[in-house]
Amino acid sequence: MSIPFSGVLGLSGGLTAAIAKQVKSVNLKPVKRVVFKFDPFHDSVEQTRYFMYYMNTEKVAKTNLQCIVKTQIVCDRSDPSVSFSLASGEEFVFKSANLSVLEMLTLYNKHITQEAISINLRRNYLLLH
Amino acid sequence: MAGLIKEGLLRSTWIPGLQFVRGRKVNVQRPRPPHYERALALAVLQPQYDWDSKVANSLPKSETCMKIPEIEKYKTRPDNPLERIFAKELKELFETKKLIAFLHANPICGEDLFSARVKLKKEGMKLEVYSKNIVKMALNGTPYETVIQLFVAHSALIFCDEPKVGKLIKIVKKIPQYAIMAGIVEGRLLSMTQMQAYAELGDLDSARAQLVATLNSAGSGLVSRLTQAQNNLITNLNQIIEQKTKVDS
Repeated sequence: MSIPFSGVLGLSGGLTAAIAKQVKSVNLKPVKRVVFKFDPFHDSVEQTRYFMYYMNTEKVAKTNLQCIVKTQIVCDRSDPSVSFSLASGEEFVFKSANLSVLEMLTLYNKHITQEAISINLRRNYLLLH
Repeated sequence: MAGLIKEGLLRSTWIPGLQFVRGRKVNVQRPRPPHYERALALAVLQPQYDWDSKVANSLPKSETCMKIPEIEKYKTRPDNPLERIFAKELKELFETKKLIAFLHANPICGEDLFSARVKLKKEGMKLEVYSKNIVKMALNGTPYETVIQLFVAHSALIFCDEPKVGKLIKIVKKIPQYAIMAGIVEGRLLSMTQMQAYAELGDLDSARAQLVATLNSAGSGLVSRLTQAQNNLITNLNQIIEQKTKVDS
């Protein structure tokens, strides 16, 4: 009896590949409004700005053309944050001062993209029955 | 046998071999990475220091790590004359232009970028993109050093000869891919809220006219108040004269 193979054969593509993988699965469908709020002179604003960049790519924007994306630039040395208002009435806020882009994207996919998938599944179930 | 070894092997002299490289270019600057076996041998031949010695033990691990000098080699950027020229140009722009806006840039397609440039050009503004390193090179040691931290992520710059802040905010609002973060207006660093307040102030000439008008109104008010009693007296006297002339006639 041989031991079944587990793990990966190749090397990991690194951080960029991980981000690209997450961006691919981002879905804005359940989101009604996104507000990126940041102070450009804050020390830890870099990752929020990168997150904003990735969330505004054409492919992601095409997933929901009705979604309103707002940028709120403040000058009060407050921590950066990203808030998502969902069509279901829920609101998610990322307090992103200590989060990296990859963490934010994975969190988004875990909590919000997942909702889009479940909506689709429910619709398909209703269509079938 | 011994004689054979002595004659044949030990006495044999090494004759340098000639290798002709005519017809192919010698790669001196970036030689081909060696074969694995050879790379191994080269790595083994790297100088090894006595890390067990007293000096090495007294040093922290971060100092004795052999990886650091290797990483440092990649960290330092080679001097690029073209970058230096760009930095010089950017420094000149910062010194001469009256309005400089710093934008956060989201991905924008070529068509949208072109139309954005056209909109800005109609107002005499110019959209420029400079790399982090060039900005650092240009602004280090100048009064504008604070703005270097705005270039940590994707960003763009807008330059204008006149401080048309209101127009700039209006145009950029219509381009969703860009967001104004801050600006330098007539040598002063302004935040976004301060820029909006500045835009509401209006033109400098109209503000001056307003100031003159308020100063004039105070003066003319004082004059009218001082002459009010005399004017009243005159009108009253005139009325009395008119009444008397009517009675006499």
